[in-house]
Amino acid sequence: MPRVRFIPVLAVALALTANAFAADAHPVVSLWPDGAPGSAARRAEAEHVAANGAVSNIHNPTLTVYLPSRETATGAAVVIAPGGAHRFLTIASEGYNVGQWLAAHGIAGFVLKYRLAHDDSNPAGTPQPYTIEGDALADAQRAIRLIRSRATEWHVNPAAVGILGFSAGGEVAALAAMRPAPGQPGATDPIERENSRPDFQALVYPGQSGKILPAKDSPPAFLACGANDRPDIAEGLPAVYLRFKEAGVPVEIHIFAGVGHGFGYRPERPSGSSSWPECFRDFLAFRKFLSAPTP
Amino acid sequence: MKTPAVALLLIAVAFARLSAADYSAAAQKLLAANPEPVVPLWPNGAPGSEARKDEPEKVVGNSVSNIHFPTLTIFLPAKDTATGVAVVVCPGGGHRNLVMQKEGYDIAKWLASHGIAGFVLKNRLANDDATPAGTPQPYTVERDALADAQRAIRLIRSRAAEWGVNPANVGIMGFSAGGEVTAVAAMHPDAGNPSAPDPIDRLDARPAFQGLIYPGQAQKIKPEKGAPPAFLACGADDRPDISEGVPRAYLLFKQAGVPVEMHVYAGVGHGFGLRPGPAHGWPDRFREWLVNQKFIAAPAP
Repeated sequence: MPRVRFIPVLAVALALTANAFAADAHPVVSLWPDGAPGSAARRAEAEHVAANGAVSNIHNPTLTVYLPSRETATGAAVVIAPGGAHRFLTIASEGYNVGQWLAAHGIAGFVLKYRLAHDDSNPAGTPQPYTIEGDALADAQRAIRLIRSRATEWHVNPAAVGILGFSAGGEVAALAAMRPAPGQPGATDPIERENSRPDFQALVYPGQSGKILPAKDSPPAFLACGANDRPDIAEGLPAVYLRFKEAGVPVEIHIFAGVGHGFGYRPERPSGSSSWPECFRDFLAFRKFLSAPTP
Repeated sequence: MKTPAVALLLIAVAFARLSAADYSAAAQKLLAANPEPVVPLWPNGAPGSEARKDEPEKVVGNSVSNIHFPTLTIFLPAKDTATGVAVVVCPGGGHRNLVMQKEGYDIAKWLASHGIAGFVLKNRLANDDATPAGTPQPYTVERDALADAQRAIRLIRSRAAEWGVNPANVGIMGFSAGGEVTAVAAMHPDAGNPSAPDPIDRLDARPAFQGLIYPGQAQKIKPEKGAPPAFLACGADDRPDISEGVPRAYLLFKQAGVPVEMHVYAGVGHGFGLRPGPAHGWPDRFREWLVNQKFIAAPAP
């Protein structure tokens, strides 16, 4: 039975490599240095990293920062919300890989580790401590505020801070866009004085597409999915497009043939959807969110 | 009272002659800009149009009308880049004329420079703007434009070896009114008549794939199971029958179980062709789609 022993060893090695890479190369910033509201007591708990790199047991939400070079920086910033059905975060293909691609193309990427409403690491029989509309949303809002509060340091244009989410993360991104909380001018925490409204939203095979109900002043939307995804996405997303149009919100949609759920960004595995990041960058460019890099 | 009438007549005559000269100059300019070979679909004239086959076409700028002798203009890729894929390109123009340069020749040139043979179709027009007012239009979309598109696909298949084309990979793409012609051709997959006297008419007219770029009459696109795979693109600011009709057509393709891809671009309306702007990426997406649908072999890793 040599294979049985080999797999866990490999898994640990992979997990260590992934962790080391993320930690070494890119700074990780806590959204709340003293712990997220309601999670302060658990903020030092170790996260769980599965063999495939998926992360759960998240009690200290963070941003992993991917900055472009100064020469290529366009000023745009994107909060990246990975998917994983609110049970875990698919943080490589729907997080770090995307941050890397964006940074290589002049856009600052901030991979959001948000609290999970159905965290896999939560012991069976114990109530889940978080909700999507409470905690995951609070984390996304805080992420946008945090980036705006440090815009100068990160060479970001505070008027070009958007959010991009995959699957369950798309649900979180859409919520952040539908619930824009203005800054609190009198807040003691200066981060809370910033506006949480994303300047644009990118919803890639988002979950709960039926709940995406844009209003007249919603942020411009970029939509993408595979035509072979499940019906609530492959058929639900064109319906979302029509609702954005009806609301008068600039919207763009890309549906790739022969592709299903969860394509994320996997440079090592080209597929029918490999070009979506380029489509997204074009969308940002033509919506004028990318300014020419300052020399 | 006589003098003004005569003067008017003289002006009218002078104007008419000037316009005629203009057309011919424009025609020569368009031809000079696109010296690629032209083949007639039917050397002796299209069915029902034989008597008018030698009428000069009307060319205004880059738009052509008074079309009675349908043709293909051929843009072949370099031998070392050829993928074996061929595309009949149907320009738009509201069936009144054909926007030959920006929705025809320019597209075919792009295709050829990317290894795909482009064949620009000059089809007969159902609302030809050269038909004198009060005279009935001699052609319809569903009869004559369709016949031209089907004949184009057959003609390419009949000369596939000569043009370096794989007869299984002959598709069609159209813009606006040309998108309507494309969809109609895809919905009428005539298998050919084995006993036809003309060997070209024995061939299958079913396009291997269809590209519908801001197609007109999108509400009439009713795909059936087994319809050719479809690539759809338009601008989100196009008129509702397109910017809302194309996503509906996408859903119909899905329901019919036909492979379908769709790109709708924000901040752009009708008629973008290859224009720089929000939709500039669609030709790349189209080529990638041909790769992913396996009409073009994927490059070796």
